[in-house]
Amino acid sequence: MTISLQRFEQLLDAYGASPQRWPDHERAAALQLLEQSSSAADLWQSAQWLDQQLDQLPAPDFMYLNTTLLTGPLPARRKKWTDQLLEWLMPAQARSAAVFWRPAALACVPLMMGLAVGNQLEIFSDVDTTDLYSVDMEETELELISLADYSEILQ
Amino acid sequence: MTAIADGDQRVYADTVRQHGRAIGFYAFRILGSQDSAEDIAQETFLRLWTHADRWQSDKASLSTWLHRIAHNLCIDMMRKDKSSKTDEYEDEMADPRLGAEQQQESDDRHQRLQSALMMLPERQRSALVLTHYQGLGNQAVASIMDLSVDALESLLARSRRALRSALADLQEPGIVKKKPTQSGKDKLAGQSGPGEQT
Repeated sequence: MTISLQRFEQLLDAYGASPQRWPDHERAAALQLLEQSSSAADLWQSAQWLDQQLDQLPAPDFMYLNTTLLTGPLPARRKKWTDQLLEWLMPAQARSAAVFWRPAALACVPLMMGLAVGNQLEIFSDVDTTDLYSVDMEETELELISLADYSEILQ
Repeated sequence: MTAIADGDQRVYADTVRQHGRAIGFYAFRILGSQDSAEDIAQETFLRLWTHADRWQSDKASLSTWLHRIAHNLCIDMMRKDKSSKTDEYEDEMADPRLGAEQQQESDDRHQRLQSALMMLPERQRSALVLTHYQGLGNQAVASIMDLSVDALESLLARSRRALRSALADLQEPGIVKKKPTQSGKDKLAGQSGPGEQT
C-alpha cells in the first residue's frame, strides 16, 4: 500500500507527527513515504512542533483519585424484575445454585405458558359450545312454529 | 462486566484502578479543573456501577465506553457552567527542577497552551484530547463522538490549525528532531498514552 503526499499531509494535520497516532492501516505506508520523500520530511518536522507543545502541557497526577473513587458509597441498583423474582424464590445463601436454578426456571416457562394457553382454549371452547347450542335451539323452535303455521293453513 | 452488573465490588474496584486515572486525565484536559475532573470521574464510575449491563463488548471496548460516558458528562457540565477554569496551572503544576525564572517562563508557556486549548470549540477540543492525550484510535474516537472518521479528521485538522495559529509566536525556528524510520516503527508503536490504542 502507498499513500500520496497529500494524504500524508492530511494525516499530519489530523493526528500529528507521532506515527503511533496514525491509523493502523496507513502507518506503514506513511512511514515509507517519510523515509523516501524530502517534502514529506519537511511536513513531518513542521507537524512535530505542535506535538511537542501538547506533550509538555502538565496535568495533575490524580494519585488519590482511585482511592476517592473506591471509598465513596455505591448506590443501590434497581434490580431487574427477573432477579427480584429469583430472590423471592430463592434465599440469598442459595444464590450459588442459581446456575442450575435459572435454566430450570427458564425451562418451566413454556410449560406454564402451555398451561395458560390450554386453560384459555378450554374457556373459549365452553363459550362456543353454549352459543352453538342456544343457536340450534332457536332454529329448531322457529322451524316448529313455521311447520305449525303451515299445518293450520292446510287444515 | 457481567460481574459488575451482578454487583461484584471486587471486579468494580479492579476496573476503577485500571481506568480511573485515564478518565480523570480526560476530564481534566476537557474542563481544565481538577475538582471538576474528579467529579466527572466519580460520576462516570457510578454510571458504570449502575448501568454495567448496558455495555456491549462487541460494539466498544470498555475504555471507549467509559470515555463516552465521561465525554457526555463533560459536555453536560460545560453547557451548565460555561466558565471552565484554566488558572489551576499556576498553583498546582510547578516543576520543582526549574529555577524561579525558568519556572515563570515554563508557567507562562503552559498557561498560553492551556488557554489556547480551552479556547477551542468543545468538539475540536474533545477530538484532540481523545486522540492525542488519551491515545484512543480514530475509530474509537469517532464512535465516542458519534462522527464518521472523515469528520473526525476534519475536526482534528481544524483544532491543530487553530492551536498552531494561537501559539505561532512561541515557535522557534531551527528546532528539528530526527524523523522516525521504518526500523523505529515498532518502538514508536510500543509507546502509549493513558488510554488504549484501538
